[in-house]
Amino acid sequence: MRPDPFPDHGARQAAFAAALLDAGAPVPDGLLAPGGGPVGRRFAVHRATTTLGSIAALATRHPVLERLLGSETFADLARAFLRTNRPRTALLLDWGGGLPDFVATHPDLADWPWLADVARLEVAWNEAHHAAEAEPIELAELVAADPERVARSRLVLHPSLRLLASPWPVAGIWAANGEIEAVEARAEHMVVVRPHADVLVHPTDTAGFAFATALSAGGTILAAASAAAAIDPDFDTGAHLVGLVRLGAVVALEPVEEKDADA
Amino acid sequence: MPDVRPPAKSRPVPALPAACGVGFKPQHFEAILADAAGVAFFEVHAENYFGAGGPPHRRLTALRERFPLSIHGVGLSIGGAGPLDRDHLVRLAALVARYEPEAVSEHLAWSSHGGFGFPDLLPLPLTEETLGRVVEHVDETQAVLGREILLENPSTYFRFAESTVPEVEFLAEVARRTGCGLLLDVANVDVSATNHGFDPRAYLAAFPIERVSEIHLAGRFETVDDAGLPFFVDSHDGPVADPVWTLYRETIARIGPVPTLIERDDAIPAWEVLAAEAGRAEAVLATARARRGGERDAA
Repeated sequence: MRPDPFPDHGARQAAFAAALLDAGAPVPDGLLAPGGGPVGRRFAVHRATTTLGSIAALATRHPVLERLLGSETFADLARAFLRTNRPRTALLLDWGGGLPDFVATHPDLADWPWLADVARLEVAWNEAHHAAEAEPIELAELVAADPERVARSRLVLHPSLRLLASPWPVAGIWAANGEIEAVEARAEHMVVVRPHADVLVHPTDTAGFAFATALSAGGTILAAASAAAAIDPDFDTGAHLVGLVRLGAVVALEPVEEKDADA
Repeated sequence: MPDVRPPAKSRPVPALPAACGVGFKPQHFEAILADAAGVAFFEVHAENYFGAGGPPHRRLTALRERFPLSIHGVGLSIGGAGPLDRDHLVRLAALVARYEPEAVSEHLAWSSHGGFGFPDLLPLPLTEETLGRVVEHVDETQAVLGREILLENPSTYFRFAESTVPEVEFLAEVARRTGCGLLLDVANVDVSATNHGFDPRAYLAAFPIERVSEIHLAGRFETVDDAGLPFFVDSHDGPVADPVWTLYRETIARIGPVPTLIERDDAIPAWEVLAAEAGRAEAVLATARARRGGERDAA
C-alpha cells in the first residue's frame, strides 16, 4: 500500500496554500487527474481565481484609479501590491486599505504624485458607503437650541464622515472620472459623508477643515472655532456649523457641562 | 436515523418556496422592484453584507421586505484545517439575525489558512480526519447561528491521493452527524463528473435527497486540461448548460419540486435574461408541482 503523503490535513493545506501564494512553485504532490495525467492547468484555475478575485476587489474600490491608469496597468499594480499585502482572510471587504500608501511610494508612479490621494479619496468613499446608518439632525434643531449651549456642545458626527486633505485638486480629478488634462498643485480639503443613500464629497477651505477635524476629534464647537480662527481670523463659525448640519454630517448635539467644556 | 442532533437553540424557520430564485446583483435592484414576476426568492453572498450599513443594506432590506431570502456564505472556510474564524462567524450570525433568511448555506471548501485568505472555494481531501473536522465546524456554525445550515457539494478540478471517503458519503455523513441540510448544486455535479470522469447520474442517484432543501444551477467554462481531457471550470459567467438542464429535469422528476437558484456571478446580463432563465427552471418545477397535485388528487 502506498504511503499517505499527507497524513495530516493541516500539512496538506499548508502545502496547498504555499503553492497558491507562489506562482513559480510546483503544483502540490498527490493531486490526481483521470488517468494520472498532469494537473497543472487544473491547479492553475485556483491560482488565477485567488489572484483575480483580489484584483477585482481592489478594482471595485478604485474605479477612478483603474480608469486613470488603464486596466492593464492597474492589474499590474494590484499584482505588485498583492505580493506584499496578501489578504489575511477571505473577507476582502476589510482588505486593501494600504493601496494608496503603496501607490505613493511606487517608483513607476512618481510622475503622478496626486494618484495616491485620488486612491485615498476612493478608500474614504468606500468606507462611507459601507458605514453604519444614523439619522442626521435637522437645521431647525440647531436653530432652536440656545446659542450659548450650542457653543459649549460637542457634535456627534455621522459615522460615515471622513476628512481628507491633499496638496492636489483630487476631488476634481475624482469627479472627472479619468478625463483629466494637466494637473497643477492646488490644495484641497474634503468632507466625505453619507447622510442617507449617497456618498457626498464636499469641498471645504483650510479653516473649515480644521474646524471639522477638531469637532471629529471630540472638541467643543468653541474649541473647534478657535482652531479654525488660528488659520483664518475671519472664520465664520455659524456658517460652517450650518454647512455641516445641511450636509447631513451631524447626528446629535452633545452639550458639555461647564467644568468639562475645556476638556 | 437515531443520532441526528438538532442544532442548538433551533427554532422553526419558514422554508424557501419550492420555486425558482435568482442570485441578487445590485445592478438589477430597480428592475427587480419594477418586475420580478415568476421569481420566487433571492439569494445573496453573506460577505457582501458584512459592512455596517449603506446602500448594500438598504437594498437588501427592501428586497427582504418583498421576497423570501437565502444567505449564502462563501468565506467561512468550513473545510479548513484550522479553527473557524470567530469574527467571521459572529458577523455571519449578526447578518442572519438581522435578516432572518429562510435559508443559510455554506460550502464544503476552505478559503483561509495560516494567516492568508484566498477568495476562492478550495478543495479538501475527503478522509475520516477531514470529516471529523467539517462536522465540528458545522456544529459550531449551527450553534452560533442558532439554526440549521445547508452545506453545498463542491465543484472540484482534481482529486487528492489521500481521499478515502466518496464525496456523496462524506456529505451524507456530515448531514447525519450535524443535522445540517444539503444544498445540491447540479451544475457542480456535472463539472466534477466531467473533471473526474464519473457518471453524474450515479452521483445524483446516491445523493441523500431527503436532506436537500435547495438546488443551485449555474454556467461553467468548458476547456481541456494538460492532457487534452475535457475540463470544466465552475465560472458562473454564463447560462446554465443544456446537459445540466437535463440532469436538473431528471432530478426534479424523481424527487419533486425543490427551491432552485439560478447563479450568475460574472459577466452579469440584463435582469430580463436571468428572469427568463429562472422561468425555465420554474417551468420544470411547475410540472413537478402539477404532477404532485395530480398524485394527491388521485390518492
